[in-house]
Amino acid sequence: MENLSLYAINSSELLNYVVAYISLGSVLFFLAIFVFAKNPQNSLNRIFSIYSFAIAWWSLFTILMITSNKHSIAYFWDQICLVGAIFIPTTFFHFVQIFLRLQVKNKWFIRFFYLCSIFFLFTNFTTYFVYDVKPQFAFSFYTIPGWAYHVFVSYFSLLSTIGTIQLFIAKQKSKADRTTFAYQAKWLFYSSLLGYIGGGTNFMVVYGVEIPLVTQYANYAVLAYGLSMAYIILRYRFLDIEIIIKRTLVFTGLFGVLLSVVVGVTALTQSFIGKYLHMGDMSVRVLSIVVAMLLFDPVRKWLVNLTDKYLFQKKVDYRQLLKEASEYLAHVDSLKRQTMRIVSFMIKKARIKNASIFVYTRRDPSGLVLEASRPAIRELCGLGFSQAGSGKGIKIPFTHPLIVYLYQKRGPIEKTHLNEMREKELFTQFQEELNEIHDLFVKLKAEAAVPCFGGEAHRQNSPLRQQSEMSEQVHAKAGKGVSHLRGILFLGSQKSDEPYTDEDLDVFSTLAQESSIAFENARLYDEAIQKQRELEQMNSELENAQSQLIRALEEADLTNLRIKQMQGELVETKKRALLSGLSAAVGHEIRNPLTPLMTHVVFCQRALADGFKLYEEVAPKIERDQQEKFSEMLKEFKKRFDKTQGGLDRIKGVVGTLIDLVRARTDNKQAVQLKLVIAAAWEEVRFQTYSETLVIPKLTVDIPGEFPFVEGITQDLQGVFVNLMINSLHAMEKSVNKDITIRGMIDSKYPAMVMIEFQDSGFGIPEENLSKVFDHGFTTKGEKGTGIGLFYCKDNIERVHQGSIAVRSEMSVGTTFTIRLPIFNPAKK
Amino acid sequence: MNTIVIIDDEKDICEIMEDILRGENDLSVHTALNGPDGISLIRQYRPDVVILDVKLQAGMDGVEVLSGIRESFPEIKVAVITGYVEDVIEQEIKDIGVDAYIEKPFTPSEILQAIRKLLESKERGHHG
Repeated sequence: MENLSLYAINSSELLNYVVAYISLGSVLFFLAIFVFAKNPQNSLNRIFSIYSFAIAWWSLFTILMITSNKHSIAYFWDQICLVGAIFIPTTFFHFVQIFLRLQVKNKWFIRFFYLCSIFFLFTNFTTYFVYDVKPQFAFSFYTIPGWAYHVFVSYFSLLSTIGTIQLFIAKQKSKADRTTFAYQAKWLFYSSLLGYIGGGTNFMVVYGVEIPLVTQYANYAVLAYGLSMAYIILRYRFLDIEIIIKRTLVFTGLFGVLLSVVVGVTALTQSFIGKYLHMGDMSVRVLSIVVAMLLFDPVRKWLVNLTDKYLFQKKVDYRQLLKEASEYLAHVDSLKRQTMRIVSFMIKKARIKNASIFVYTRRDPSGLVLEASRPAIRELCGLGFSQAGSGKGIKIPFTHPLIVYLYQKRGPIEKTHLNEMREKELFTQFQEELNEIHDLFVKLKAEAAVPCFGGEAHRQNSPLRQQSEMSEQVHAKAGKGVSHLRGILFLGSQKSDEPYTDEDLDVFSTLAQESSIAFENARLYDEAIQKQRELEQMNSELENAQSQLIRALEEADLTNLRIKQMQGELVETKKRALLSGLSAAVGHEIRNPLTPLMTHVVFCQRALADGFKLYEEVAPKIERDQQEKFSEMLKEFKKRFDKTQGGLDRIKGVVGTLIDLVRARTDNKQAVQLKLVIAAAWEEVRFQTYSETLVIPKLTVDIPGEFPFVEGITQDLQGVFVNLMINSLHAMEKSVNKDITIRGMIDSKYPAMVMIEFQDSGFGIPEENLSKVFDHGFTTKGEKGTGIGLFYCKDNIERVHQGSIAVRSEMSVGTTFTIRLPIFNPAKK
Repeated sequence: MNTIVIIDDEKDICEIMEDILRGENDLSVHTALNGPDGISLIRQYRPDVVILDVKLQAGMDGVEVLSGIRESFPEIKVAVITGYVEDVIEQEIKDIGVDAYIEKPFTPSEILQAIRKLLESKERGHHG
């Protein structure tokens, strides 16, 4: 029956279609406006909005067609809606070209296809296109195609296929990249595929094909298609389509399970309680709802956790992350450890696939050095450098465009954003820089670079001014009073494959700030350790130097001492030389005149002796008083001559002793046979005392045959013995027994010395004189004694020979001198 | 007749030697005040004994004279008289070889005894 109203929805099936078309149309209409408003300059936005608008047009006007009750109205609306439909393939094609940036290359195609559309537009208002409308399936009216319509359908299919294939090719080509473009291509391909398959069912209806259920809901696919297109265009960061599908499917399924569980429980509760508690329907329903509500949330939470745990990577709780990170960073540790900590933290807690940290260190102030990375980066071409001590290192020099860019941006850089900029960049120089940055990102497998800015305290006292001049410039560019780039945190893609949202990057920026403080601390810590080590080393060096200095001072002291000694010895030697010079002079100048003098005296004495003889002869011939005078005169002569002789003898003795005393003997001690020395001394004594008419005493020498040689100077020792012998002779003058005994032996107490006992049978030395006998000037011989003899002996034996001499005596019995002299040891020389 | 040559730069010593030896009938004495004169005396008279002071002046010194005599007239007995002699020279003299060593001042009897001994040893040497 005919309705009075123009439009009616006759069945629920139709209602489904209408709902689909309304949602599709309105959403796409608003999308068209929205996308256009978002960025009217962008050609992609513009073409999308036209495209979207065309679909919306078609969709909305189709509603009017399928719900109209009147034939003519339906026909009219069909024509109108097809206006939109005519432009769908063309604008789609155009859209694809713009998306693929082929709009310039294929502009003639585009223009041609627009011409086709215009052609179809014309034919639309003829019956060639839409022959008629008639009720079809649930629809009140639907298109009956004319021949132009068929052409249009093929045109539609052609263009949609071309476009889709183009998208497919683009998707395949960019499969390996993780660029925005790749994602978009992938999305567009799949959604276009879906959309056109879905949309294609509309054409099938024209040809009398209706697939139950599919056709009804197929237009929702078109809606989804439109929405996804908008999503692609509006967002430059978005998920991989596969993940979305996967997630949605699984989540829906699980949610369904959840729902059924809840429903089941509710039903059970209902029936159970209803059965046994006899509650009213209403109350039962309320109760079941309450139960459902109670169960719902915990079960949902549990399911979410489950899915997250086993299917998806859990979305990070950033508060927790930051809290833990802060705890981590609070430890002051060496830079290496700190950075490694942060990296492993990123990997584990922040659920990132790979990360690396470059830090500014004093060791190499020309750039940022790679301190830690997971996985470890061994080599990075173009960024390697030799590091003293630790072999090869990787460094981003401060001249790298990334650094400059970070200073400008003062914030994190994302790869996708970078790519966009690269695509948009017109100036080749900047494009090159951007490419370089992109290159770095790729090498480091980074999705984002987060800078760590810190204070500038360290810059002021940089000792390596020259090296860091470059970096100074870079820093200077950043401006004074501005914080400096301490490090860069390179983040790989998340394990969940989600791109980094702004929120994510903000969190990481905060982390980076904290890190930069931690880095600075770590660096200072490292420096402190280094300084400490240096100080320790300096300390030990100082100690070394000190001990060396002390040693040097000691040596200097010793040397001083030795010098003093040598000076003393030198003075001694000089003195001796002087003295010996003197003594030589003395010896020569006194002894020479002394010789004739003594002879003269002797001759005088002889002559006097003759004189006495003559007196004897002459005495009787002269007067008594003349005799007396003569005799007195002769006696006077004798007395005086004798005295003179005595005086001369004394002079001779003294000179001899004096000379011996100061004789500068060269220290050529030899091996001396004492027996020979004693024998020679005895000879000399006998010779010397010949004229003194002393009775020669008996000399007994008791020295064993194997008696060792003595280290000494023969002349000196001979002199010593001569002195002793002469003394003994004088001492024995009045003695009855005149014996000199010389014994030689070795005292076990002094095994390196020989012992000589020189014993005479003289009148002895009184006890009070014993200690004085060796004194210089001591003499008991009255006028005759010189007092030098024994002094000379002691001096010579002790000083020159390093021996010793001692005396003991018994009055009226005799005196014994004990002499010790060192045994000649050839090894010593 | 035994000949004695005295070489000493002290005139007094030479004179006194002459005085001392005047009394000896079997000795003839010649004196020189320096080395070269002494050597020419030795050449001339071929003495049996030479009495030599090691300290001489005017060019040649005693040690040279001594070594000269030893070389050229090894049969001559040489007695060295000296007032003072340094160790070094003493050693030299010892090395060259002297037959007697007499220190000044000496008494007439001392010097005579020494000369007699030397003559004796010379005699013995000839016959030995």
